[in-house]
Amino acid sequence: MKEKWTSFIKWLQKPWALVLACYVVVIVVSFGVMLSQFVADKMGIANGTLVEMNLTPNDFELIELEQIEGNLYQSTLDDPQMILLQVPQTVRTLRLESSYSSKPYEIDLYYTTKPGQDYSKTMRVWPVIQSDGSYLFTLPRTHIESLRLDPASAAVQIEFGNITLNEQQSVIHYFNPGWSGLVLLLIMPAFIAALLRFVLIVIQYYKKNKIFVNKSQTNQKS
Amino acid sequence: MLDILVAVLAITCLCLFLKNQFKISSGFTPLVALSTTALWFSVVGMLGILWAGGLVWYIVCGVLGVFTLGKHSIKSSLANMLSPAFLLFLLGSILVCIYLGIRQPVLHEWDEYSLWGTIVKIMKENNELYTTAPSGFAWASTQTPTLPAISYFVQFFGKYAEWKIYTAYSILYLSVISALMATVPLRKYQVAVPLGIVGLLTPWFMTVYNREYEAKLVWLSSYGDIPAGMVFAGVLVLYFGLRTKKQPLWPVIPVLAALALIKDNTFVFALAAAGIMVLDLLLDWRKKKDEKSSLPRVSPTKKIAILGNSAQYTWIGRIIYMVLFLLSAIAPYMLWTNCYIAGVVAARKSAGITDPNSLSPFSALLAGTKMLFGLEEKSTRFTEVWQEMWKSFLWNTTNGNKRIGGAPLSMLGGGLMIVFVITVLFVFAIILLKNKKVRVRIGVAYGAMLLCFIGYTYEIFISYVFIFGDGQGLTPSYNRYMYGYYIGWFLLAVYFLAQAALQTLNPQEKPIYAIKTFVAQGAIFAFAGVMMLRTSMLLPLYNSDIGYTQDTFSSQKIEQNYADVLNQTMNSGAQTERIFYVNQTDNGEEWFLYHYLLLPNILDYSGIATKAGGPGGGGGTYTAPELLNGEPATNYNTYAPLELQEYMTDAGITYVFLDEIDDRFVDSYASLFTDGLQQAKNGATVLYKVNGAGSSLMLSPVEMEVAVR
Repeated sequence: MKEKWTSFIKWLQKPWALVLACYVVVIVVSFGVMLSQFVADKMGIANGTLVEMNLTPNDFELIELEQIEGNLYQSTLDDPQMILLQVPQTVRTLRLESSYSSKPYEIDLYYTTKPGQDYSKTMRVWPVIQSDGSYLFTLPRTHIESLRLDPASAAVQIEFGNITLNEQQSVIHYFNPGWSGLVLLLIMPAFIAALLRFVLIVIQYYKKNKIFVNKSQTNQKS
Repeated sequence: MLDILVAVLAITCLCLFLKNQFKISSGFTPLVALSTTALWFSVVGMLGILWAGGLVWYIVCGVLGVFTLGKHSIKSSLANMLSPAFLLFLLGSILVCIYLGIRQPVLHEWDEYSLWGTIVKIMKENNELYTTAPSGFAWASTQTPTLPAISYFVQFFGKYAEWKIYTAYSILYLSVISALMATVPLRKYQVAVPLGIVGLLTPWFMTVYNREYEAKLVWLSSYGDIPAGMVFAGVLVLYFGLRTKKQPLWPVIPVLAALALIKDNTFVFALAAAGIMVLDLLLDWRKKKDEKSSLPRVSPTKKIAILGNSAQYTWIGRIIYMVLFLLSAIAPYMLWTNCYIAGVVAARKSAGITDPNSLSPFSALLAGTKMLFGLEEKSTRFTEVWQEMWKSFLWNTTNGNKRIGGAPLSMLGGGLMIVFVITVLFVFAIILLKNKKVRVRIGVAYGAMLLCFIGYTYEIFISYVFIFGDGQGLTPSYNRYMYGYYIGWFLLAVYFLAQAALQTLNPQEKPIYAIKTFVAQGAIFAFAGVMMLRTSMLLPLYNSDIGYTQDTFSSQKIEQNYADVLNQTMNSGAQTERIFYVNQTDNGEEWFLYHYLLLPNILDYSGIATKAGGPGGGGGTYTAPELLNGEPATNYNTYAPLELQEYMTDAGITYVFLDEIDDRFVDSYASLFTDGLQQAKNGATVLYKVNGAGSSLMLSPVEMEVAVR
């Protein structure tokens, strides 16, 4: 075992070996993370903690947002807010279907993770617009205490469609890194390999040449 | 996509040839090859043989590639090319081509329709340089040719597509980043990787300053400012890199010339780069004995190339190079502007087409300098622009409080912050390098860049005061005009820091030198890490050029589909149609948009620029003079119906496109339309065909199969 470990370390010291190892590790770890998220969500669905919920605007506490009729609302100022205090035990996504009388500008979803916490700009997510024009918010995988949906940042008329929490995602959704993910998978392993190599070189040089040792100490030793 | 891969193959062949024949580091070759390609296509375009010349270029690249592989064997050629820099360029170009070929982004910003995208489309549709090819307006034809030439080159064998312009620009950026990394050998990839990351992030890092909720596209833009900054950096790192590697300096010449022909206001970058190189050559940094003994031995047949190499170490050689560098920065631009374009403009004048007049840059410079030194009274605009530019550079205002750092321009902050960080990088490089003479050179380079920065800022200031009109604001597009210079300066600083990181570790030397080398390597990692962190905060990948959502271009694609319907309806196939444009609420933007979208059909200027009694421009708002009803004449082109008939006849108009009409238009011109504009008012059509000529000219409705937009 020790021999195998020593030969592995020796092999790792080859420049290309470290790069290859980093790519393999990052890809395996990334796949592992995706798989764990998939399994966790499936288990959540099975044991009832991850529940799909269809909401209407009236399920939210509305601020600067008034109902005209049916699903048609008017934001009275430029910062309409929809606050949801009662959320399921696990919240992964919120999908918003909405159309606007004019440009809505910024649409975002704030969240809190503890009771009594204020909403802040550091704890919010922006939507990814889907092919059907709906807005999909993906929350961090942590406990969500409450949500605040800002459906626009302008005084506009909003016609709401479905508002869905924890909509079931396809298997591909869990294992599709997207274009951004692919670029990260391409660049980050190379960066990590380069950083590890830099550290290894510094350590090796230090061991071989004692570059950080005080001259007087080396004189005493000799 | 295949046409772009063929272009990449052609460039690779040229790179192989440059590497094998002239012993230039493989990382430098893409920038030299691309620049030479741009110059070639510009020259053959000016000579009126664009397509034939382009074909010759591809054949030459192929022949040179085959020749050099035959002479040096494939295995040794590939081994020669194997460097982190060239690998990044080649793999990056292929991946970018595949990515953009799948996603196919389209033009989406104002000046892409009014200039950058339009001139490439004109070139591709006509296989003729945009300066002389048919178009509806004249002013963009004075644009210098480097970027459209590269955009045309990459799609030479394929159909025109907008995403191919972005691919061309991305390949250009990759060639610059390759030059930045060119001095790093494969075994030192721990320096190459963070350096490459710094290079890749620079276009975002130096241009994005706040987080936006919509996709922010930086690489996917055909404006010339970022390419100018990148190539500015590229030519400088190329020069310093060639000197470091003791390689011939002549490859700098085509890159300098190409830089000079990117944009009018960034021609100054080429002058600055040439000046810095001249200054550096004046510094005697090597002993003659060392220089000659370290030159590679070569056969007599390579004398010319090697003469170029050894020349930099003799005073005669240096003087020749100084003259060549200055000439390459100045001559192409002067030849283009004063000889070629002057001829084109003269030919247009004789054909009755006039160009807009503006104050000449020299006159503006003279007037501004007189005001600066109190020889003339300062105008109000002079004072206001002066204060605004100082304010933009030195501080920004947040909630009414002044904060030092400059108005936000990049992820580092404003101008002052950027200059501060660049200065710190230069200081780091100077402290961490062990060779004293190299340290002096870097110090001189920094001083020269600072001086040129002041000069460039002054040039922009003069433009704001004398060239831009009051209606355009005090400092329009300030960020865009400034970040090009910052990009060049920043990457040069990073390059010098990388040289400190590449110093050879020698256990016989004092330990402090090894520590300095490791500190430099650590600094590059740290800076790359900071850039990655800052970029992730302000420009998440999913909102950037990489992860933007498909609906980002939905409105542009709707417009293109609509224009395709119009073209299909009009095209008889026998001729290029010439279209008169009407949009009663247009401020010019829709005209530029449709001029681009309807190509190869020509959207006519739709009016006479110098016509009295109106805004003096072209398309699309019209009224009969008697129906102005007291409104300012500047809102409408005033044409009597007969004047309009005569204009359309003289201009060779074949169709009229009624994008938007109003009651005033109907009351003014319904008599010219066979249906009295009934079908247009009902929304059944937007196209009317011209029949007859002169006073008999009438416009008949064209049946449209698809419902009007």
